Amino acid sequence: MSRRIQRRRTRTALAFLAPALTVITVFVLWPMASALRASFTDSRILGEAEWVGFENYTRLLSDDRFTNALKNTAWYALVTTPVSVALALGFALLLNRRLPGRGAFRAVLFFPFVASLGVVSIAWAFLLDPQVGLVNHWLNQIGLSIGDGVRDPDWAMPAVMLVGIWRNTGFFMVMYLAGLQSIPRDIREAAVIDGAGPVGRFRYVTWPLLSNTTMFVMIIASIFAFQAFDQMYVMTAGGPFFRTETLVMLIFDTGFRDFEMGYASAMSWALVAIILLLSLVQIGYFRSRAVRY
Amino acid sequence: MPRRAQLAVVALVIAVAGCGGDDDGGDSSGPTTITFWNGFTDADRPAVEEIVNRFNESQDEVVVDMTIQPWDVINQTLLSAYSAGEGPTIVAMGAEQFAGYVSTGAWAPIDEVYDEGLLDPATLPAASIEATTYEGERYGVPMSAAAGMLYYNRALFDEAGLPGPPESLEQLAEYAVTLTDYHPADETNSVYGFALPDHGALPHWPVLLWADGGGVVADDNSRSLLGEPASIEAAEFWTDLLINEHISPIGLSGVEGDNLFAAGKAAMVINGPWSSGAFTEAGIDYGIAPIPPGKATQVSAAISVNMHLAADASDAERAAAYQFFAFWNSEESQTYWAIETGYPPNRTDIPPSAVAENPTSAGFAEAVGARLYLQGLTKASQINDDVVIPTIQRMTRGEGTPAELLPEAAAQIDALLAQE
Repeated sequence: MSRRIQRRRTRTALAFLAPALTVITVFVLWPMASALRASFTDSRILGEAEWVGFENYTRLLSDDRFTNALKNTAWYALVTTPVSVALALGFALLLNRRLPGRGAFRAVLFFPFVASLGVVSIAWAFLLDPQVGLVNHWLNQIGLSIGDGVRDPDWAMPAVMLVGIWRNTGFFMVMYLAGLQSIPRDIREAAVIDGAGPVGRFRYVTWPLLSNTTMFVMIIASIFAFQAFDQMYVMTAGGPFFRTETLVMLIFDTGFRDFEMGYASAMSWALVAIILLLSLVQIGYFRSRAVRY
Repeated sequence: MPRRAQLAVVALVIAVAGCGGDDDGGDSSGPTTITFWNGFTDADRPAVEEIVNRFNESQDEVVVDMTIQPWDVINQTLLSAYSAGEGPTIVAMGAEQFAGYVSTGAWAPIDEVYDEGLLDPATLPAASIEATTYEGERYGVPMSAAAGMLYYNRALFDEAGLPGPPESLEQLAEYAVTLTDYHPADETNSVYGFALPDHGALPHWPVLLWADGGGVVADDNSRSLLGEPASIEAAEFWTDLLINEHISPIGLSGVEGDNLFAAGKAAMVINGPWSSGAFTEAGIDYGIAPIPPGKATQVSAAISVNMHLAADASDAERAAAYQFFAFWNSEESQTYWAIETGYPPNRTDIPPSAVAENPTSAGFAEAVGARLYLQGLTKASQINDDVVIPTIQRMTRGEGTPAELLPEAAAQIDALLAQE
């Protein structure tokens, strides 16, 4: 291919990509760069912002609220990520078999992911309400209790975790189903012929061959966890006494309630750095275990 | 240019054109269009829409282009919209957020509305005038004004043999204990005497502290009163009723409190006029009474939503906004507003007989001692959300006594007040 034709093709490709690139630049890259600039100022949205250097970042280090939100977010991620991924894998293995009503079960599990999290959080808050909720009423019938539900300092975090897990499991399950269906049938058949039982087949064939899917799902699951906001905003407002306040909630309050956009931008960039670091660690970990076939 | 490249360029042009801003609309010879944002998304919405329609139809010079969206959305977008020059000409905002916004320079003073006689401050709610005054200038006119009132469930009162609404806060507490039927094994069977929310509601705890001579912040905003003996004593009294007598579930939000009352599971609740529709719809036979006096005074939380003018409004927009402010607060509009929504009319010169058609409005017109909470403080949200609410929640969860927690909270508030 001559260089001229290649150049023309590149130009055409770029021209087709231009609308998407324009949108990404205007709505993603530019706001990110703008937030980075704001994080070095005392921006309050309106009026002139003054350059404050690293002041906002050093303030983060001594801010108890930030530390608390970081701990809450980490705790939320630490529980919801493995639990939702494990459940998703379990459901995917189950629903990858020939079962009656398989399509309906898949749809039911996937539905929470497409429903508005704000709306389902309101529904969950009602269900878990100790005075008018069904869940507590049923649990009471068998002698169990979840205290004051989302208002209880001990139960508020588990409650919002439950909603997060319930919401994302179906999405991860679909990812795993796609992964399972891409495993070549002959490899599985070979394992069966070699006398491998179901546990052996999973351990030595399915699980290693799903490592790329697992990497993707784990990374996405931890990003989702670090971005947790909606259900806390709706169900607990971050309470009781900051027990469920996550980083994104704190960023939201700092930016849109206190109008401290400079400080909120610094927190946002700290969150970007945390997610980036975590994703790199995960990629490094899974790459070393990737199986090619 | 090859055909494919031409197509791509066309696609790019369309994409870029789609990102373009919209026109301001209207030309210099036509009517002046002013934009108006407010958060009356609930049962009050039709009344707001009707008054705006009536205004638009009443004359040819001004068109009010209204956007009703949740208050949260307004708060998230307002300052960004102003900084992009796309903010609304008029915005409605709760008094508790006034100082925070006005201190950013987003709004213009509107003293002329009063100086030129378009509105008479003497006929408007004093709390609304106070709530919109900043550094000696007025920055808004009332949109709606009321004060928290006590809703009580007549059926539950009759069942308990109680004659009528309580006449003192002490009696309210006694009634609450009598009315409570607490079932710890299954709280869905419980009935609570007095639903007492601690967040997402009118300021209940501050009212209880004020009534007994305490408070959150001194009248001159110089220091916190939470650590004062009167505040601690009042807090101990109500905390004990919550923890030991179970007169209310702990940690309720305002909506949860309303839900309990609407379900007949709470005998008393404090709220504004907007709840009356839902309670009636739920079939609750309720009465409305002023919040009774405490040991020191009779007081209730003032509810004040006001309209503000954008700082960058042109002269024509300013004049148009003034015209709308006057129309909204006219006798005719306010009578209609009160009858339709249950709010008391903004004008004190409208006689109760004019709104008697709606008993809620007539009931709310009897509120006593309307008082603004954290008035004039730019750090009001931080004081309330970051200190007062978490402290009440800790207290009522038994994570410390009022005597331990309130002085600590007072110190935190004093630190915030020092930043004002």
